[in-house]
Amino acid sequence: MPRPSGAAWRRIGGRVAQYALVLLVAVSLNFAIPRLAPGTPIDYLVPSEQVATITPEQRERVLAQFGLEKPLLEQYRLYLTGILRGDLGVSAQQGRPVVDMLLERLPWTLVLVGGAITLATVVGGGAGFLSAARRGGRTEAWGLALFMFLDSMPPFWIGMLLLVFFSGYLDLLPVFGALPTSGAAGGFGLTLEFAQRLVLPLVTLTMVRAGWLFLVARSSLAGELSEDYILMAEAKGLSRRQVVLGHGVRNALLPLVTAVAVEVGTVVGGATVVETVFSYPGLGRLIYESVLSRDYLVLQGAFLLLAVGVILANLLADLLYPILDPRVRAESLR
Amino acid sequence: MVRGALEQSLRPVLVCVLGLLMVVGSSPATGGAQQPQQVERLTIATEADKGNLTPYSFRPPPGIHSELVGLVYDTLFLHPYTEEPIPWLATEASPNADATSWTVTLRDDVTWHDGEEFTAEDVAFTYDYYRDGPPNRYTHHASDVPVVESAEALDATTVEFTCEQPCPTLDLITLADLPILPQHIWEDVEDPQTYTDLPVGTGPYRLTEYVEDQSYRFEANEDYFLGPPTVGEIEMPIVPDPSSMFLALQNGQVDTATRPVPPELQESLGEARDVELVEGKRFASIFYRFNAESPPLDQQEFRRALDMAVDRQELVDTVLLGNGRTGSPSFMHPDSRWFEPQDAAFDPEQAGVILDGAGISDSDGDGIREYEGEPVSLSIIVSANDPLQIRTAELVAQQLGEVGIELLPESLDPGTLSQRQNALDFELSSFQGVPHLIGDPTQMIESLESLLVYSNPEYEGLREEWFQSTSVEQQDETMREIQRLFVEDPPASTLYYPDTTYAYNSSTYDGWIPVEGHGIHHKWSFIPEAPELLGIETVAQRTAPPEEETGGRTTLYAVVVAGAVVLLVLGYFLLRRRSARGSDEDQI
Repeated sequence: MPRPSGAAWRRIGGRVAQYALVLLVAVSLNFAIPRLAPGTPIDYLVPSEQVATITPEQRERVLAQFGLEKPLLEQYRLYLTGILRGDLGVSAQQGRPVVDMLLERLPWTLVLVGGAITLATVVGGGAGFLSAARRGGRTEAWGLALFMFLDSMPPFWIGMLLLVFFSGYLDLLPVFGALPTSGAAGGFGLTLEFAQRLVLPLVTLTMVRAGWLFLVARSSLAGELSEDYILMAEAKGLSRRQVVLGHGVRNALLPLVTAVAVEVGTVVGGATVVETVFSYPGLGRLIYESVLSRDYLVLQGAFLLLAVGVILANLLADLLYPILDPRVRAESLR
Repeated sequence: MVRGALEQSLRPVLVCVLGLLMVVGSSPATGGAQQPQQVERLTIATEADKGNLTPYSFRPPPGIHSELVGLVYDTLFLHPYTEEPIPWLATEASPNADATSWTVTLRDDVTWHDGEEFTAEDVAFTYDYYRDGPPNRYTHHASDVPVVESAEALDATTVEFTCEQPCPTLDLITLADLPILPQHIWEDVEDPQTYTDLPVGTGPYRLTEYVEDQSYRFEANEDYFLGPPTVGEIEMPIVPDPSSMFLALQNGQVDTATRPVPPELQESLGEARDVELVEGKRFASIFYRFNAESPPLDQQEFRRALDMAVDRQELVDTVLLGNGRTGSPSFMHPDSRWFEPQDAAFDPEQAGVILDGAGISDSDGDGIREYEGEPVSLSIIVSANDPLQIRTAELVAQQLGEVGIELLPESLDPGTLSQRQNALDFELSSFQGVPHLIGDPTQMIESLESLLVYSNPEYEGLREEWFQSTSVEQQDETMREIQRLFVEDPPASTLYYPDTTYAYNSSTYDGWIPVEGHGIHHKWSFIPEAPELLGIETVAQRTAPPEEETGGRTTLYAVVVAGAVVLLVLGYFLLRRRSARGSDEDQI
């Protein structure tokens, strides 16, 4: 691998600056959007039959516990300076620091979403490439039908079907949670319990996301395989395998990498539903619960984390391009 | 010879009869009282996170809150939906002549979970804190209806309560509803909503672990003043998805679920191995709030006609598959002691007549009536998370269409829904009646003002009368009179009271008791003395063959035995006669 030159560093620097700007916009939107939705945390903290009897002072007092009684601009300033200090405020629902709540959920999301993206990329992308390489054959027809079918199924439905079959009918796997509630066993036993509970949500999420990556990989490789240079490679007498893997797939990887990077945000969204069906303690479920209760500060924090995640994934993809594709490298040098 | 053959052919019959007699003789026919079952651990799936279970950790439905708070905290009297006050942390309470002041004596054998002694100071502190501090689901019982002016500890076990106005139901409702907080902990709590420690109470269970959105773990309080509870440890995983929840119950991952079983699941769930269903008697209703400030809902006749045009029986049959009761104009739950029995009249024709009389008629023949020149088209806001309520709204829309009123259901996410409900930004709103709302008359008085925004000149007088009532009987009578007003001038339209059927695994625990207003998941299901104190049988006592049934079976046995004896005797005589005749024939 060639070492990055000065130009390449400039390019990386430019990218990073660009992403920082995107992040600032995202951060501001995170602040604004939850507050634009109708409803306030107080509607959730006090029962409806009582809200009307609450005095303005009492209302103020409840909101003051979370700094939500201050003017919007002041809240925004505190939010921005808080981010720099790593302080995202206190959840109105839980009364706990938002940072702690996010950090508790993050590992579960990384395992579930990270695992699902990896699996979906390997399975969906691999099958997509295979399907394009065997264009016109039975593999392509079946593969396309299967992945289109998976892609069009709602996640909660797949989850429910898997649950009914594996947990209900076969009684093989537990229905809910990430770990057993009575964590008696440690070590290997606990790992096994953890794995048993991860299987179904992971498979569900993978099935849901693989379809899209299949389509991207398939159309990308199919496009490459119809290029002149492939004809040239075949004319040189290279084997089919060399042509497809060495030339076609390598070039077809770029769109797939972009698609995977974009997936990061979407998968966390998709995980919301899956996490609810399987009672999995990830970020998706936290976001869902916080939307319901208009827990602004948790929403801000969670979206911030997501924005950073998506931006990092895209930055990574950007940085991968030149490594994967010499043309991009050459372009940036010019 | 003949005799021998006959004897042979009758022998199997005789053997059968004798065998039957032996079986009957040996079969146990005893019912009798059962010892409370002791269980090491129980897993109860619950549908929603309710915070760290202090009285301040309230969340709106779904899910049970006060029952969970009740595992950790106790009240002075048993619970607010009893017929008569049943002492709990208190031993007795007596009012003065006009019921404005109460002297309450407390138990002296109660300690907090952290070992500190429970005293009258804690009680006095709690009532002051509720009255003056930030609001929660309980506080208005001390700050509004009634206003508990002061709670003073006279000595370690005596508290004197003084109300601003007569408070004859103080022991029956107020003291039975408000959980008592430990002063030594809460005196330092400035912002109760950000208090995140695990709660310390006097209750039968300690909350030892709480993982938000994931689970609760309770351990038995072995020093509980009524003795150790029957279940050593309660695991409570939070399973928001109903299908997952009941699947977990079916495959034995959990022992019971706090969510009532939806009507469509009852049959299949009831057939699962060891899973039993029981009616929990929790108070539940679905009612429509009217925004009486928005025309034509500001017209009493219009609201009444609207109420009359709803076919509640059809709703119960179609939406609840028959598992429920039709709504009453009385608003209260029919099983509440304060409920005034009145039937809702379903009379679309009369509704039409009333509407015509009020000048709301269909003048342009498009099938929709007009009010002041505008077609009567109302929207109803419904929670997008509750398919049952959405189905109901669709059906009601059809029914109102028959009388020329257009109803447009609008489903909203719960956050927007609460906001619009609280801001009175709706025409009609579908609302879930929780026990506190439809079982408690002091809340009713509060609700008529805050939730239902009821204005009726007659009601104003009755309200004043209610506040001046110095006895429970007087208050009860006034409450009934108030409810009678609702027939002519409905503040809301109760559609139905759904059954609250719960499922439990009978092989793991059967000490559940269905308590009026609360369902089966509460501390009383784990306290050995509770069934007797409450006068309610556990599900085990119910399903065990009771005396009467055993009697019935004994009668059956008697009939069988008598039949067998008659058969034997008959057989014997038959044999003898045959043999006698046979010997006669031989002689000839």
